[in-house]
Amino acid sequence: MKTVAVRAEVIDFEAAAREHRAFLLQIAVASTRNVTDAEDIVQEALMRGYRGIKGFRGDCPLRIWLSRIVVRVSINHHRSLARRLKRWVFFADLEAVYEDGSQQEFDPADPAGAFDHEAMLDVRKHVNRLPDEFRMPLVMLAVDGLTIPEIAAILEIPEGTVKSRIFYARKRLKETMAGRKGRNKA
Amino acid sequence: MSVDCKWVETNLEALFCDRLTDDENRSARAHIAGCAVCLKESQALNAIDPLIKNYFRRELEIARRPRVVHRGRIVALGAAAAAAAAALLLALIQAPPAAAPRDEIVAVQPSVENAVPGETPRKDKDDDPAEISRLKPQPGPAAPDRLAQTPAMAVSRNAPAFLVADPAGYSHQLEEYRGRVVVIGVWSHKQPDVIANMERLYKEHAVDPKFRFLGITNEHGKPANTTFPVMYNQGSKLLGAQAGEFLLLGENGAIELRGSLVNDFDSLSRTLRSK
Repeated sequence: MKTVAVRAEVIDFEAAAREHRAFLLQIAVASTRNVTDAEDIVQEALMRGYRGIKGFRGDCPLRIWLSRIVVRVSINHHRSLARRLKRWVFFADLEAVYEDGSQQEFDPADPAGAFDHEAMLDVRKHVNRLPDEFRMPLVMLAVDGLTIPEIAAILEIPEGTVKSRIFYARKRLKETMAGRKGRNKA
Repeated sequence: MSVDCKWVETNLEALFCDRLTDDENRSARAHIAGCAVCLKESQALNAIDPLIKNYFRRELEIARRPRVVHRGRIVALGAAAAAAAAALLLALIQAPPAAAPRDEIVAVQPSVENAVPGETPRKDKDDDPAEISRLKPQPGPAAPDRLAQTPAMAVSRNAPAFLVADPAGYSHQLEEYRGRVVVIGVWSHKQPDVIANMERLYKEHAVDPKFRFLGITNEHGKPANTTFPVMYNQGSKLLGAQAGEFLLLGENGAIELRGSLVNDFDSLSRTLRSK
């Protein structure tokens, strides 16, 4: 019988981190409100995962276990007083310049021009206004290959609750966006 | 089974969460397909998913892009550099002239007797070597004799900027006391005679508006039956003054006298009376 310690020892964490990094980034994007912090969140989560790998019982896939850490780090990251103060003081932090010389302003321009920019601004605004418990399952549904049972495992809630929260998130989003359209027409 | 709009509205969540029985599911879908209102509601809910997918794709794209520099950080760094430069300039302006010869500075009378037992004298980079050496324990009986002979010492060094806070939490700096004669007494609860002398000085001279008295301490709580203003040290070195020592600052901000509040009390009183 494999003990917990043996189970943890057989994991090559470095290889696992390389393998799951892209997936964890998607989870971080789905769980944070400030997408520019997603890389930092993944990095922090991997550090914590590395330190706490001995606590991994092997009762779920490693990427789900790491995703749980990402979600927790993301929530703490958002709550962090220092982070909030930093945002408040350095408001210009919202502007970023990328390697290719392009800029991200308060809301990034759609490079491909595929979406109605105003509508996308609205989606972002309304999604960010949703409470975490509704926003996270709804956005996680867009993560490649992530199923409802996996979302339930990551958020550590029953599958039925995930479905219910996704429904209410959709409903609330529909109502707020319909409200905007109504106002525009008026 | 008969399904109407009200039933669909009530069970829409169950329909989306796959909690209906097969029969209910079939009937509900049949109703929705034939009812314009329910169809619109159902389509509006389903239309959220592609929006979220697009939103997520864009957010992911932003997260994947390597960031180089933050303008905000540059602004913040620039502001920090400017603040540091301003602080350095201020320090240079307030520093004594380079030639203000240290030779002329009379070494400070340390309050060896008044020092709190067990309290290690702090070493201060700004202090003269003479001061530092005198803070070390002196072997033999020579030290007490010398201390008894020399009253408070006159010094000619500009007072370093300090920062203290009153009991209400407001900060006070040296700059606020320019143009006044300031008596800074450093006290501790373990030195009742120092506190008593500070109170005597305050009662005798506080009526004169040109004097300001600051009883500075690192301890919390005001001593009983005292009226002199108590200030809490905010980490200022106060030229290395120990508990039991005083500093007399002239109107120009220079330290005119320094010594022990117990041993040199008379000379301090005389000096204050002469002003």
